[in-house]
Amino acid sequence: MAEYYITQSKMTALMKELASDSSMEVFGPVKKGNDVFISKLEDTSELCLDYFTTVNSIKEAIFPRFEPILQYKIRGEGVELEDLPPIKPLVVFGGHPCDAASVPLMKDLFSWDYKDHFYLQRLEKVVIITLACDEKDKDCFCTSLGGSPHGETGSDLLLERVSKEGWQVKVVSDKGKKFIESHPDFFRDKITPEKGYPKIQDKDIPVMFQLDRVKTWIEKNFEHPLWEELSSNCWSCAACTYVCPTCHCFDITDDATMWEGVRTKNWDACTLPFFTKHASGHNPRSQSYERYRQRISHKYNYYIDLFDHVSCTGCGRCSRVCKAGVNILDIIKRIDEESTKGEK
Amino acid sequence: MQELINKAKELIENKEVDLLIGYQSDGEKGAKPLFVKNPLQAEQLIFNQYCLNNLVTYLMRPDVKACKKVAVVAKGCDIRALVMLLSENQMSREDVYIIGMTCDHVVSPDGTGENEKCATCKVHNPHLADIVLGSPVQEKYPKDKPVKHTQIEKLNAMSQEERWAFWQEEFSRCIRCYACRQACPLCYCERCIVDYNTPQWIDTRSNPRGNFAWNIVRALHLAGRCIDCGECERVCPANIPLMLLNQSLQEEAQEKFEWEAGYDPESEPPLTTFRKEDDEEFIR
Repeated sequence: MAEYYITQSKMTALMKELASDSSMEVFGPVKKGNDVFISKLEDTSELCLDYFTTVNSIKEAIFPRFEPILQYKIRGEGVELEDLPPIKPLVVFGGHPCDAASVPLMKDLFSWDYKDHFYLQRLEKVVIITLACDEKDKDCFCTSLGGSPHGETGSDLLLERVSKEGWQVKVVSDKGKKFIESHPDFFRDKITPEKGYPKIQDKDIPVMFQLDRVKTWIEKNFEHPLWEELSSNCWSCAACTYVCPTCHCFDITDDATMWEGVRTKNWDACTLPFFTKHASGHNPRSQSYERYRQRISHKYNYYIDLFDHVSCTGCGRCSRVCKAGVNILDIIKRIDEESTKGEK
Repeated sequence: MQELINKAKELIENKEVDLLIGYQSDGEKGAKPLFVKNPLQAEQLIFNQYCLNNLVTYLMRPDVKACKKVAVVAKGCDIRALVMLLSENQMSREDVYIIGMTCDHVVSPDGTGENEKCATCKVHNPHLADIVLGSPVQEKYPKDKPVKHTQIEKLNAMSQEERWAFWQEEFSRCIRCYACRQACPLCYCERCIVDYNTPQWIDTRSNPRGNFAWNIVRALHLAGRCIDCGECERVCPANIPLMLLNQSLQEEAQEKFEWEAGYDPESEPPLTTFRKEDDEEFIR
């Protein structure tokens, strides 16, 4: 696959140019307080290029927090359906391989029994430019799930740091190739990586557990006291699921007056108490541990049955964002440990 | 913290409580909640300046409420929330065993310095507890001096338009994860107004309308009740300065009712009481 080189300043200029083009939507890393977020870029946005990872994932560029799926007006006797805002071409820059790796997973889900053409259209129109990792922290575990700090899965272009000033650009897909062809001034021939690059490799993030063992334990232990113990701290907000690159649940809401209305697809989360509340008042997951068990079981058991792939990329975002101290890696490691107990 | 561990073991072993909620270490510079149900788990208990969580929030969770008696490790600032729960009749004093910890200060949420709230703390020594552990700490802030929040001065100095633009920008990042609500010890409604959907009172979309409605409604529901623990702001994944809203309302409560929430278990919160001589000028 072809390789190029781009400097940080060229990348910033390119993003600025794209952001000023109203025919497209551009997302990139922006600093707020001490943290960096993947945000929709305006031409005035300050791109931040010095960060370990972002709080949120690139998910919200392709699967927006909320999105109109139907709009209507009532005129006289009839209902008139209105056109929805067109889905524009997208560029998403600044996620890591653990973000991009979620994209094929989400595609499987959204093109499963029902084709979600909102998601699929965005996916068709997006160019994902990923930054390979220069750092890691205690919450990273991509390698335990088959990922890599330099993984290409899901990206169109993969940028790997080869000097303080710039990145080597790996073309991963045809969309990536076309993107470079249409912006030739920003890219140049690849250079030899300077000494000390890449800064981290797969072996720097050791494999922490065995996925097959974890899945089998979850399958067999729906009722187990460990669930309650593992998630006792969880106070049931949706911070973990909303920063997660693979959590994909949504709700449909209607917002209407007498004469017009809009139906919206709206993020929702299995960790929220209201998520499973029935109209009768009964809640099959009334306890916080039952909701957390669902989150883990969905990712590490049910999803594998359905799509033959774990629905977690090991990015660690949920653990970093949780101020109640619920840490997914600790939990999965503990389940793995538990799963080996019976073998002795 | 052997004193704390011993006390916890005693409470659990003697079955004085079914559950004890305290802190355990979370890396070198961190702490997280610990649920203790047996003496062995009690060994992990710690207390230090990294113990930021207000554990009182767990007392309102259904499975914790279902326990006969719960012990909670609490700093003075956290106990203010307990005082409010008691005065709002959410629990009885005998339902909870309070292990009060004297506390000089905790770290700021980013761990780099002293937490801002500690400078105006009036309860370094717990004001309501079954047992107080730790050496007494010199109180620095005068008990009868209302707390002034310097951050909101900058907000008050803005024009209405500037304030509107400020909040619009801040709220634009709100993803409606409700971490603020779930971490708040005083957001204990069994069904939050945002979870009513027939009709849907609050827009659940994270659009400007929905985000304004949500954040303002939450602030208003805490007027005269917020005890300044700062948990909502600390847990917000979008770094929204939520305490600015709460502190503005705290100052209103101070100015209009000479009221600061969570200090005196005997006093009646202004917004849950009625007096004939209350000013009714606003009703027209």
